[in-house]
Amino acid sequence: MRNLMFITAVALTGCTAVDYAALPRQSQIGDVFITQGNITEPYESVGIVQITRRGVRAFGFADPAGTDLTAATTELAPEIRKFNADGVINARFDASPMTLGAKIVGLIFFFAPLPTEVTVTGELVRLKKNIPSAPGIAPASPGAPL
Amino acid sequence: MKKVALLLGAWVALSNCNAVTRGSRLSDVPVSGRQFFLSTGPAPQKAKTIGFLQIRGYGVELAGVTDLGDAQLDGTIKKTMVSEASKMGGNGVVNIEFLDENPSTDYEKAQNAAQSINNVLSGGGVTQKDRYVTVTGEVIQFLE
Repeated sequence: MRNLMFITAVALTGCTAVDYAALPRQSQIGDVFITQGNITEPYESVGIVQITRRGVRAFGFADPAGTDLTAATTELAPEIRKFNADGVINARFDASPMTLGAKIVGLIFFFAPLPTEVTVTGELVRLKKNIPSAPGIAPASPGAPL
Repeated sequence: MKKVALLLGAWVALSNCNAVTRGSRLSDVPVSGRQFFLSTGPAPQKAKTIGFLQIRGYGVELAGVTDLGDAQLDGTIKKTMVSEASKMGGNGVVNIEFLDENPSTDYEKAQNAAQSINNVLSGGGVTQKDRYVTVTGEVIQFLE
């Protein structure tokens, strides 16, 4: 009995929550890339983007709105296509994964669903090898001229 | 029980919304011409770090429709950040990280607009929501 209580206490107080994002299948996102790093190929910046997805966690465990890293990654693909970009570099994620203890508390107090949120930011880029050359057209200056 | 499920379903459906914040383009790589370099990545050529910057823009969203103040990514990065980095003697900011801290989803904007109309009709004011944008970056000076 004492061991069972001990194990339960450890399970409830465990403070590591794991979330992972499997990169969506190519058929789902098309020919675009998403990376947390930089790329070595020459590119043209298209803009910066932030997507915030909000929802509630029902019964502690269910996340019907999809506020995990995978959902955030999948949300980026339409933005990439919308701006005719090839991908996103330097992507940063911020989610709110919940510990087992928090999920159990959410299950007990099911009538008050917990708010959840995931945010992804990044820079949209177009690879220069995919840009048709247009001589004589100077790109707009991104910052103030020196 | 059916009512609870219906209420929960409606809540989930209404709260499941995306907020998308966009900013205009930064610098291309490799660098073309002598322009202030801005990138979310590292320096494209030899450079020395001369400092770090963090800027927090504050603004107000009125009635879920209009943004007043400096809580926009473009203004914070391309005006304030460029200006401050130039004062430090830099000619670029790299490894830029940005966060629009509390963007409104389409549902929240519609809700605020409806609330504002209701308030105005009953003699009150429009709804206000504080908005914050935080941008950090590494100020560099090119060596070549």
